[in-house]
Amino acid sequence: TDFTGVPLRRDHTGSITSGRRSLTVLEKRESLPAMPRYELALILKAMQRPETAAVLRRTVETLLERGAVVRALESLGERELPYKISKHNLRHCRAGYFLLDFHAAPGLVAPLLDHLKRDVDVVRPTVLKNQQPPPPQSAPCPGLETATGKRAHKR
Amino acid sequence: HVVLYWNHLQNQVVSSRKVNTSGQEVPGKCTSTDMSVVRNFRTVKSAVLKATLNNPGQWQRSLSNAQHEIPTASNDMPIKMENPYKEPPKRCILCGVTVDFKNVQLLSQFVSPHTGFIYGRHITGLCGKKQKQVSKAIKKAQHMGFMPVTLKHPAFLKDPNICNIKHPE
Repeated sequence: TDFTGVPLRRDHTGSITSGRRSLTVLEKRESLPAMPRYELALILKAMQRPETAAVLRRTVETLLERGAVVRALESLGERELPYKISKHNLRHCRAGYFLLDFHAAPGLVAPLLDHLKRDVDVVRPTVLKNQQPPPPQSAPCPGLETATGKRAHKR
Repeated sequence: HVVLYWNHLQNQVVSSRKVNTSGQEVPGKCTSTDMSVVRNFRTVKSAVLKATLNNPGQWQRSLSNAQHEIPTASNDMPIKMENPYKEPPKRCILCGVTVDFKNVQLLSQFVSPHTGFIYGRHITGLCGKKQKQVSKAIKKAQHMGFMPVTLKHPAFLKDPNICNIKHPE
């Protein structure tokens, strides 16, 4: 539950939301006031399935407690890290990769990252702004410049 | 009228005859007045040639053809149109492809297999926008723990070579 004691529940699209906001929030997702869309790339320690599930659950619950709207949670699988990472007195070689899409107020990001850094099971959390791809421009791409372009008069 | 038969090769009048207005031949030799016409013929001819030179592409070879209709310039000039053989503008290989930090395999194609250096524009052949997107995505992926820094991921070493660089075997 969140601060006001409203229980967590699923709305009509199936995502978990705190009942504080109205159900039409996700319909108007593009015009949410001051709620930009973020992406959390979560790299978790290689653990057994129930433990991973527990970490993910408490991460999502933290987000919802702070009034974020979780959009989707994707798993990129457990794989070998590109380089060994030392975190919380442990040297990690394998890890589980997860992507968490959510809408949140900008003031939530820094405290969230601080909270995740203190979590022992989290190897590397990164929050990115998730910008929608720009609409196709009216003018098509001009293409590569020919030799008569910039390089020619440099010589 | 005096009708003159002009030989353009010899550039001179071959023969002449008198003709009345309806075109029937009038018997009789050409008089001096007729010959003055011949002298004046050069001016006439040049006038005729000028008239024909005004319509480029036409040149009347003989005076008799002047009786025919002179086609106007618009009939014979090349029609103005866009070059039908124009090639479409050359595009870089990532034109229309979204560059993402998650797509590590794509990003690894622009990275050296020995050192993990990001290749420059002169090697990748990408346009300015895409080169910037690729290098930014590579740095992002490396920092976030998706892509190795000092090397190219061994699983992607066999990928086709996009860049203009030959590695010694």
